[in-house]
Amino acid sequence: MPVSAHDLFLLSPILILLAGAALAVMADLFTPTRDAGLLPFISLGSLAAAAFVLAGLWGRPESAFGGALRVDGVAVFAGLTVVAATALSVLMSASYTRAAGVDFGEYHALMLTAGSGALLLTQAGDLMSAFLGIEVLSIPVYCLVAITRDREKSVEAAVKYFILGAFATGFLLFGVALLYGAVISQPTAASTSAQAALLSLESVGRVPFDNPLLLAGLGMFLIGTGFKIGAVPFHGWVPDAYEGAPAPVTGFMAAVVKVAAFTFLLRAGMVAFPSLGATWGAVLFLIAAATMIVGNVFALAQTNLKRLLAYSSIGHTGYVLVGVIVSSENPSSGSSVLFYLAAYAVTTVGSFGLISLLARPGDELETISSFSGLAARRPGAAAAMTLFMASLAGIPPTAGFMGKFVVFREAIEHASGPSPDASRFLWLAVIGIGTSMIAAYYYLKIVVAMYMKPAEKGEEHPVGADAWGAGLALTLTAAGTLLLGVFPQPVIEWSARALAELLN
Amino acid sequence: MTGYPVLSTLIFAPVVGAVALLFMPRANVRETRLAALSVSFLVFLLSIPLWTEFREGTAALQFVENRAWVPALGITWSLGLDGLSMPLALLTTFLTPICILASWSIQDRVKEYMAAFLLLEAAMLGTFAAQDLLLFYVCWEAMLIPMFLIIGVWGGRRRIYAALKFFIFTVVGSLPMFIAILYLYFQSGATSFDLASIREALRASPLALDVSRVCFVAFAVAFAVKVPVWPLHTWLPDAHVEAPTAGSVILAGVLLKMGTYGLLRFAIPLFPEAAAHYAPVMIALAVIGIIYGSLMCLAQEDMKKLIAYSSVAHLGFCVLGMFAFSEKALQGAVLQMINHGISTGALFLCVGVLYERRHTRLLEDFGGIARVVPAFSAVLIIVTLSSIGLPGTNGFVGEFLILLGAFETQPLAAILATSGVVLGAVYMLWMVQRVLFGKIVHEENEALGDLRGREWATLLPLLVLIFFIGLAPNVLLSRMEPTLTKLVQDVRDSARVSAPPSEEER
Repeated sequence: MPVSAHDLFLLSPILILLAGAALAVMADLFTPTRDAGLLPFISLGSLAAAAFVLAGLWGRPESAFGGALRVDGVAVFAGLTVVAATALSVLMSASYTRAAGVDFGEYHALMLTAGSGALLLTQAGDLMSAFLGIEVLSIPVYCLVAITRDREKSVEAAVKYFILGAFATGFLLFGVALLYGAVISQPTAASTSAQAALLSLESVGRVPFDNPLLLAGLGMFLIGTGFKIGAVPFHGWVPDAYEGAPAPVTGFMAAVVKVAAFTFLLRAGMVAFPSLGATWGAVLFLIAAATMIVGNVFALAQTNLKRLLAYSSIGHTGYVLVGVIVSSENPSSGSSVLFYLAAYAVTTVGSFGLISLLARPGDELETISSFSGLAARRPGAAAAMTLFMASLAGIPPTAGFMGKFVVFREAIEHASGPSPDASRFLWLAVIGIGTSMIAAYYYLKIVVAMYMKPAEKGEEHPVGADAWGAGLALTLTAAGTLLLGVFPQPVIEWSARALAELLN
Repeated sequence: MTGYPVLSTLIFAPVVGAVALLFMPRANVRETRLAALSVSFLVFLLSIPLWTEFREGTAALQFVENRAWVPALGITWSLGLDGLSMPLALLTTFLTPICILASWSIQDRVKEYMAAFLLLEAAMLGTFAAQDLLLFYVCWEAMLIPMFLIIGVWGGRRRIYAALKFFIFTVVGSLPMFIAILYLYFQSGATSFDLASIREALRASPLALDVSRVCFVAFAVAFAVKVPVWPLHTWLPDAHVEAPTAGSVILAGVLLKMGTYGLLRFAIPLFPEAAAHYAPVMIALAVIGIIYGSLMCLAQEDMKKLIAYSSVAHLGFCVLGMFAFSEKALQGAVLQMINHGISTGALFLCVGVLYERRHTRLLEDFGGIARVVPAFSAVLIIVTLSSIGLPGTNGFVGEFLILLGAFETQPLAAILATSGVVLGAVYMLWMVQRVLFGKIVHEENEALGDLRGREWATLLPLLVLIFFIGLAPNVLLSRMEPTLTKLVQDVRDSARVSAPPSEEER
């Protein structure tokens, strides 16, 4: 298949990030006195360039490499969310990595590579590029989890994450192979001339839904992606990995991995498995309900803030799944998923960024009690954290509230739709709201600790570095959390336009 | 009418003030207090046109603003006041400066406290002015965090427990309402969450009976938690006891009214049939609340707790008046909402005066102080008499109208509720007796100081209102009447609740 210059242009956001990654490693090697202060700027520069190109592609849906890449509205919307979340993570990392002694080029190279994998995944138009995207995203993240290699927890988390992740990849790849089998077993498949197009999502979408190979492949595929998004019952790795990873990496994982994986799930659900919701609705319902319940109930018992946020992120996976399920039967609802992801990404990067800001060398403020009295020690940080917690809990006027609102709005809108199973949507919304009630309590515990409890003995002094990068990132995420809650209109419009391009 | 968006100005002025306060230097405590006071007083001045420019004789919304907010989701920035919400909005702007003035004793993190109070004011004003269901919900929930912090950071010993309980009760109550709002929106087929558009859609195609009943219950529970209706009241005594004085004042004065207001603004007019269907339940709960609250008052040792339980009883009267579906009772209920805000606010201020001097609120720690603090005693007696509804004070008019109206439609409930009036006199006067009269048993009380200038400034405006409303209730009633008459009429029309039988029929 000939590769045109235009294809390369469409690929350029990904290439720019990879070039940035290479540059970061080089810069680290060839600068005579190790000047790590330069590295964040290399990362931010390449991210800005990628964002610039991506934004330029807005409104002109195109496909590259014979349909292997789809640079449409959804890809651009999710891609910009990924790039923004990565940039914020880089900003948050600067002081943290210096303190932890891991401020070398590889850190930035890994983050940018993972970002490029996430971009690839959001654009994936066939199963092979999706698999590539997932791998390019996952492998650097395994390394990032382990990057503070002196911390036992960090290494342990990485090993767990890697082993389970490898299993999931196996499932995914097996699923892809079975789906390929399903496509070529179809007589209609022969009419498609290009060999490459056999793996495209559209070809899979043309296979009748009762094909046994397709069903087996779909099952494997769902297990693989379920693992990546941390849906119950494939969520076991999440608390350990989130707890063990350095805080800025956790924020990056929570935001970027979720955005990319969910975007692909949304695209695949609509293009490759259009009758998924109608036939497997009950299974998806159970997964979403269990994810919301398990995530939020288990979070109640946590005393470690990172574990608490890990379980909370499982709960949020459940909320996004509600959106995915609703849009599997009502495609126009997909924009709610995109908006939710953006709102969640901003908030979660902010909250983990805050943990990174407050970290001391080799020691993160992890337990909820170590946040005691933070309002007196760092009033600004406590206020920002309160905002993030309110957003995660879904209290207006924050991004999280609007996110929940758009998702549950779609669920209830279609609850009385034509489909006989539509009342299931109402139950999803009810479970979602019920678990939000539970969630309010554990998010409040953090606010209580910060504002209403005195600091622990010997911890009365201010903590954390006054790093400009983390400060800037926190300001941006806090502002974003508030703005998406107060003026969501433009972003909601963009998400709707993005989705419209996918559906056309 | 005023030429500028007066309601938006009122909502945003405190927000701007709160943000500005946060940038003040931490050391300038005095300046911070004065700045907060000026902001809240400015908001009060800005709210005066709500009274002076208010057109009487119409049930229509006034000061209407209608802007797009999130058109993609059907949320509008739709504001307006009518005879029901205008007095409540004024009560909010009136009580906030008093509360801030009563918060001079707050020493710790003053600017955060003041900022939280101003944000709370903005959310309360938004709640009363919102004419869009979603905007209402946003304001309703936005009020949670500031109030949570006010109780939890600046409260008493068990403040964390009380703050969490307040928060959880409210959230758990209002999330079903959130679903109901969405469900209602899609079931009605309205084009936006604007209340007018939803009511329009409902008129064109009424909801199925069971749908409207479920929605009513979801709304009513959210509001009943806030009122609070027995048995959802248990958060209130805790919150009142632990909150700082001003927190209690605003909680009793305005926050509880948001519950009764919500019932009147949304739950009853949107689902009139369901409201009529469940009226016996609501009335039964109200009557239980009246009697239970009054009996609990008799057993209290802590003055704040006593007043908290008296709130349960007084708000029971309001709910009774609302669900009796008679114009008189409804007028009385709304008037009683205002009155309770004034009288109970003043009572909490009085307790605050004592607490600042003795750091106790237990009845047994006082007694016989009338001789030592004559001015304070006079004020406390006046406020108490207004709270139990002595003719000539505001409390009389409201309670009397409620009972009068309720006798027409719900005679049994009215008779039972009357026992609450008697009990009310008993527990309040007993409290006054135990605090003010008798012999001084504690030596510390010999040296109590009488009311100071700042305390006078917080109490005097309330005293003036107590007598003003008591002697000239028509000034208020005439402004509320068209709105309330229309409300009762609407409910009767659509629910076919039989009007009270006229004399001939009897």
